[in-house]
Amino acid sequence: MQNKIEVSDFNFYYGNFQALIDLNIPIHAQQITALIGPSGCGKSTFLRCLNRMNDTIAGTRAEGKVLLDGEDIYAPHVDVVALRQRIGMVFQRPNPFPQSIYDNVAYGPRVLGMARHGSLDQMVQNSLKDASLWDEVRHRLKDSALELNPGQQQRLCIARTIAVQPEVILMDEPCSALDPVATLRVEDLMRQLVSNYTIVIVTHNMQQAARASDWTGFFWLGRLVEFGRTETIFSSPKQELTEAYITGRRG
Amino acid sequence: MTTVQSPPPGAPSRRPGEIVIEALIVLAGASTVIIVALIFIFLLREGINTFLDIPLRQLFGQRWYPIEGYYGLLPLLVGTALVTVGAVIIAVPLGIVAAIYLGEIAPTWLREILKPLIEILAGIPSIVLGFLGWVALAPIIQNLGAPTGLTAFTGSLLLAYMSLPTIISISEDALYAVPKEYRDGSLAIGATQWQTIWRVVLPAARSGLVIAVMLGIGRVIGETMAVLLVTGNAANIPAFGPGMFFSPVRTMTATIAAEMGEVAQGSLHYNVLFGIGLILFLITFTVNWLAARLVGVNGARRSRGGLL
Repeated sequence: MQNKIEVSDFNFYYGNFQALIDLNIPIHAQQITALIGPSGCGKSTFLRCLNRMNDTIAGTRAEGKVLLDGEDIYAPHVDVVALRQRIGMVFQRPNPFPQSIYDNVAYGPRVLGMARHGSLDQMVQNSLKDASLWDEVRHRLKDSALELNPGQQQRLCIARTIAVQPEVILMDEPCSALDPVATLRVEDLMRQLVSNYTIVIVTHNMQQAARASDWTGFFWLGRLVEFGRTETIFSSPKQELTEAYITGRRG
Repeated sequence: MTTVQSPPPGAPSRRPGEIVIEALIVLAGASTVIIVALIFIFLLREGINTFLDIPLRQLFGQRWYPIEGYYGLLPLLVGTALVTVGAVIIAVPLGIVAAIYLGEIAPTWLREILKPLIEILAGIPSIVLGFLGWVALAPIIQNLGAPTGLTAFTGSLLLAYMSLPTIISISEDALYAVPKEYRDGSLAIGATQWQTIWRVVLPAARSGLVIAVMLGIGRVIGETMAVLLVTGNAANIPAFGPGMFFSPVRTMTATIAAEMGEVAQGSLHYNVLFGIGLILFLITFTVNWLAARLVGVNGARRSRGGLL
């Protein structure tokens, strides 16, 4: 199996605090990789390292390699803006811009100069369809995105992300602000999207990781304790700590 | 004091000290309302004759020459408009761009130096700035080719400078209130920082920016001493065209300041000066009302949606 992203000997610091320690993780292409672990274990920090969103925080420092299709994204010549187009991100709280539904989805193609007049409508429509939101919003594309319910807002953010045709989608606890029904819709959507995209999801919800992912990594205090097939991690973990966390005795 | 309600049964009874403090707070709050109302009534009493005794046609005439009984306010209105428009054209872009730099681009250490400096700028007495404008700025304007250095444009420059701290600091607050999630969302798509600021942050902060501009205008319209010194004090209407900014004018505020000392109390001239004050009061009141309405719209929008 081909690795879309290969993380090797990766360390990450907030000032003097080391948040990630000696990480080695493969992210498999067109698979869903879930990252689990207690709050503050570094899983979200790690996710934000994959598209260098942590660059926006002052005083952070990264060591080691993160290879995307064999190329180090922390190499000096890398264009971070171009990188983020290839690796999109969906955030914990739905964050649609205070603009119309259409403008939200069209935002990426517009700023990246991808759309030529006629095709923009088509791109917006396709993205909304791929995010299984089209049927709910097709008659109200000019309405404010803030009038959607949280579950719709989150799917709109997914549509906004896939509108620029990224290769990888990072999801940082995308369902933590959603109710169970909306959560299931997002999980279904992930299963549909994974045939075209590589997905990495951070989640607090153990059932979600078990239900929705192909691979699972368990983080503890900035280290990767265990990584493997999701069924293996949840049925017969090798590490005692993993088992303790999954069964709810630790964490 | 109708606001004090008897405590519900079972609750500890109110202490006397608290009642006194609450009364003082209510008094302080009420006093501002009462004082504003009194000022308005006073202005109305002294100034209303302007509008009763002078026919409207003459009042909006082109000659301001009180000694001979000409009370045409048009030159003063035009003067104020010229100086204000000029100041706004200069100050608004500069102020918003400075706020963007402070809020979005400058590193933290630099911001912590610049912000207090801008607030000090706001504290410089206007007469000091007026003096600087007269001594330093006016000769420069004259060297640029204007017939005199004391022009509407000179006043605009000074007033722009004076309103900048207001515009910058309120704009920066508005930008600061834009959730970080919007910026993250835009950057994560592959937008550059500039695209993020221009297409996401500024639109999201729009109503706050409008308020910053409104309050800046309020400051400009009401300013007196600086414009009195540098605008040349000529109560005439310059010929229409770009050159009008480089002609001497006189604003409504400067007229009141310059002539109030010389008029006989109770005379028509005296009443007209108060009439001008009344007009100024209504203009600033309108500007503030507009700003408040925009805040209200903004607040309603926030409660309707936004981030969860």
